[in-house]
Amino acid sequence: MKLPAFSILFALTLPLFAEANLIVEAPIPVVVDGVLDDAVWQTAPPVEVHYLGSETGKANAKPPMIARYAWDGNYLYLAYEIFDANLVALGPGTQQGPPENPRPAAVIFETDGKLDLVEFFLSFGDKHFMWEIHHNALNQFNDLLCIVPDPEWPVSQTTLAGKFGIMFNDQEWIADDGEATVAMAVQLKPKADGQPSTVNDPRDTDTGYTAEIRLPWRSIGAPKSAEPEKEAAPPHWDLAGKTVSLLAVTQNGDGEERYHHTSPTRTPNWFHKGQPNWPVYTFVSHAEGAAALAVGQVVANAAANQSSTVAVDAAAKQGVGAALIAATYLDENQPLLARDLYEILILAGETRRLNPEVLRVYQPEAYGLFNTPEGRARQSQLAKGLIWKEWPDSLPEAMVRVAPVPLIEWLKTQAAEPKPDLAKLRQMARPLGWWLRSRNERQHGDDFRAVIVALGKNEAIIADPTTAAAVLKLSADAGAEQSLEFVSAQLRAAEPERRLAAAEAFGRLAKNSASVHQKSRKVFLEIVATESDPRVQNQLAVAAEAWPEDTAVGAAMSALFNRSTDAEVRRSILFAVTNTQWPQASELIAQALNAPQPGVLGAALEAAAVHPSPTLTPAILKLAAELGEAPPPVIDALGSTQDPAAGPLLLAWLQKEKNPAVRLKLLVALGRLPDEAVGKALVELLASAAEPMQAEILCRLASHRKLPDASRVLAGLAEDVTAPLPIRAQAVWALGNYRDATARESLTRLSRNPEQFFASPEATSLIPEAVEQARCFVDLARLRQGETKLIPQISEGYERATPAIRVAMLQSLAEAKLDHPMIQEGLRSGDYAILQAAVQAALASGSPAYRAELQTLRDSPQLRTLAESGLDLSPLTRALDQALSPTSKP
Amino acid sequence: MIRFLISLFILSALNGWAHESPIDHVEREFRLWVDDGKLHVSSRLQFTERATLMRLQPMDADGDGKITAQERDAFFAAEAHTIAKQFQLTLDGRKIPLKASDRVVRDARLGQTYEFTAPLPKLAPGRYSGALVDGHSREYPGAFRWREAGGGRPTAIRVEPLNLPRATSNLEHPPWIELQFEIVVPE
Repeated sequence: MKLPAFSILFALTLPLFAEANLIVEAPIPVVVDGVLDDAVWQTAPPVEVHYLGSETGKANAKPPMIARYAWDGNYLYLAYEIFDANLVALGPGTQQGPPENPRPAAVIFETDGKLDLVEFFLSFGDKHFMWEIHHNALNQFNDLLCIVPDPEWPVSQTTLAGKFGIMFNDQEWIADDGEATVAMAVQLKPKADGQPSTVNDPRDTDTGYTAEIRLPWRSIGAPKSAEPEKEAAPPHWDLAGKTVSLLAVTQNGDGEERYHHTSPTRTPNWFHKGQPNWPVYTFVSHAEGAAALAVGQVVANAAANQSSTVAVDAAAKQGVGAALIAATYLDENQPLLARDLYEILILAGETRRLNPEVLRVYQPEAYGLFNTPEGRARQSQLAKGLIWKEWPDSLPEAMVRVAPVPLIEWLKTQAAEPKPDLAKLRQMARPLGWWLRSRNERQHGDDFRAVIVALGKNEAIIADPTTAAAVLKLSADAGAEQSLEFVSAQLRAAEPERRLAAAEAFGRLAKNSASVHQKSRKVFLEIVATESDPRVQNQLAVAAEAWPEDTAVGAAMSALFNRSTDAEVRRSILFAVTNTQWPQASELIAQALNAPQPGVLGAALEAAAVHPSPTLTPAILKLAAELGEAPPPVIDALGSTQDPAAGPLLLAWLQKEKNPAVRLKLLVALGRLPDEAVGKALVELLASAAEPMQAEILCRLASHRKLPDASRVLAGLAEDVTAPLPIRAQAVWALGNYRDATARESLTRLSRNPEQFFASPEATSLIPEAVEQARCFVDLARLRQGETKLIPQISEGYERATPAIRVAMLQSLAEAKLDHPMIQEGLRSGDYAILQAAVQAALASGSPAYRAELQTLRDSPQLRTLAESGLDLSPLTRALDQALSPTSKP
Repeated sequence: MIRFLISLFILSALNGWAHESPIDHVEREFRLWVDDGKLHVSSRLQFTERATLMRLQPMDADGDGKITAQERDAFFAAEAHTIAKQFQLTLDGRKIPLKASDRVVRDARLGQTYEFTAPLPKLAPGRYSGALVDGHSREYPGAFRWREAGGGRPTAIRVEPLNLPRATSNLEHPPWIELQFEIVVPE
């Protein structure tokens, strides 16, 4: 019996859960064996059967029975536990129910006996028609359909209604419904000696029993609106949101009070006649039930002064349903509890950033709350803390996520106030800024931008430097173009702190908004020319990246570089040079290389690697020759020169270098040098490479450019069954870059018998993974050698391949700039990675045949949906833009 | 030149052989239990946000940009049947076909739980080894865990996992998931 472990929790959460009269959905079917260890019984609220039958509203402190109810798509489940020292159960020896599912009947009353019996009265809201169910410790069971006619009904005056005015139709039974069958079971609880309690043996002291009953929906008369669609297999009744009147009664022959039941308002009479006073229960989904339980646990933990991290997480996983329940417990006078409850709101509210259709499918409640007028009105339930005197730390973020409509109203009020709450505005600005900067806002972007512009016009806010800085940052986070006036004014302010915040906001606004970009250029150039504070200058250098092709901005940066001696400012200018295409780039880099300054040289070398120029080569070679070791920026810069003189330096460093990461960098730099001597050296390195990553890099270099006599070494690697598979895969692909006899013969051998070369212990008859993959890549390498007859065979391999292999095949095509029908297939894929690889392959192929398809893809609602989601799609959109650019060429 | 550097860093190009899938991973939870003479398999799949967004288009059968309950249910029912075909269930060396339920439960974490059943032959008391190979996981790999499905009385038929009762990480997922278990039929 596992229930006691939950009793404390349930006691603490009773106001929320038990009194809410919820019947929770079972996540998996209940095994009807009388043992209450099924998952749902751990969460189903207990129903105490303790009201005295002879009085109204008076309860026994110690309930003789506790019931629990649950449901799923097939059944209503009733479970109960009896506490009784002397179990008595009698059967008349007859059976009830349909012939194919008979059940032994129970005796229901004995005037002088000590009979025990459990009864359930069940009605879907009708006071005239109800099921009466009896069950006892011997698993005997009666079911009868009862009718309680009103006195004005003629039938009430007939013999059918008997002397009590109730029609007991004991020939009616709860039928099975197809595969859904009535079932019941009992488990006797152990006595003090460990033996099971006994039934009908007064000599010992029993403890009671537990029981489970399941009843098919159709047979008990569930609402038609819950009925499954005919074609559903198996049928699934959806009772969520529906209600049932359900009264549990226990009859104890030993007790002073014979009957106990579950209705606090019933007046003594036939139970059948009091249906309006029976408890009414609402069926809730498993998620709703779990949410209520999890929030209840947070409340209980707070009451016990315990940590709620796990409980908060468990509640939040149930979505906004848990947030709405949590909000009912918010209390300004319980700040610690409020903090935890707001954490639930924060975590559950993360979903507001999801696409509305995704929410509609996966979280209809969240869809309603965030995307419908009715739901938006409900957000006020979550926002009651906005008017509290003190905010818990977690409140602002919670409001941003789950209550945007009330939050916007609050911000509007603050913007209009002569004395706004500056501290709270600053508290709110941080999470709101993060949310907007992360492109999470889906529903209210324009409203937030408008109110942020209004905040920037509030005189009290402008007068307070800290709050003004927070609003400046918020303006940039929101991309509020209309804030430009406010930002520009702050850029000219006397206090450097204001100018610093404004410079950052200015750059971000200019970078992210086309209209601001044009309007702000003049202001920017004017400010750069006059700004004297190094911190602001530094921020202006960062902002300059907003105009990456503007000669005047490049010139302004060049002038600032010459004017400033501050290393940080100069470094920022060089970082900006790295990320832009200003014509002054080489001149600025050369200045930094020729007059090295600590903290600036590294940035200059990085910029040189990105903007190689023959004018920079002598300075880079001179610097490198003076160095005894190989700093990464110098390695990259040397590689970028493509100068033969860089080869001996890099090779010498490679010989000495022990750090594997630096060795890889040296190999990549060497790979950029086109001369023959370096090529030979790389092949020698490949022949002797012991480190797998280096071998892979060298194979990639051999694949990218033709290295002298590389095919012999590559063939050896590709056919070496003891070599690591990733290296062999790279070697196979690199062989395709060579058309000599050695390369062709090697690929032919691999192609003829892939099982011999690529059999893997992992391969089973189900999934011959390695061999299938080998076939694909060997064929692709041969296609690279020009064997176009393999195109149909490669198509078949693509069809059989897993999505991951398809991506690899398409990437290989792109690298070799080959065309193949699989590109067309890939452009129609539902897997993002395949789609992206196919677009890149289509671009690399240079074929105009894909243009229409690529155009359709770029204009597709699917791509728009993805773009609006805030996910990084840049490799895909960049390739699409490039492929569709009017100047695009192979 | 930049493209050259990029191509060098696309070292994943042939990494299909190393089982490092560039495809959006799918997290899974399995439950197995026996009831009413059937083996029940519950499989919860959790897709990434990006993969979920990609699935909207096939779900939106009429292409109007809105997913109706009918479109949603039809999509998941079809997917349940596809996944059922990708499962291979063997018990005591015999293959047993799994049948998909049309009902798919969706949850707040972009999860979808499918239910499958397979009729069990009459089993005498004893232990019977079984295996469930998930072919879907070969195409869409990811971390997984086997969740306990609840106990039952000592006299009830139960399923006991033999391997991988722990969660795997995204980085070390196997090429496909194979769950080995025993069905225990008490005396």
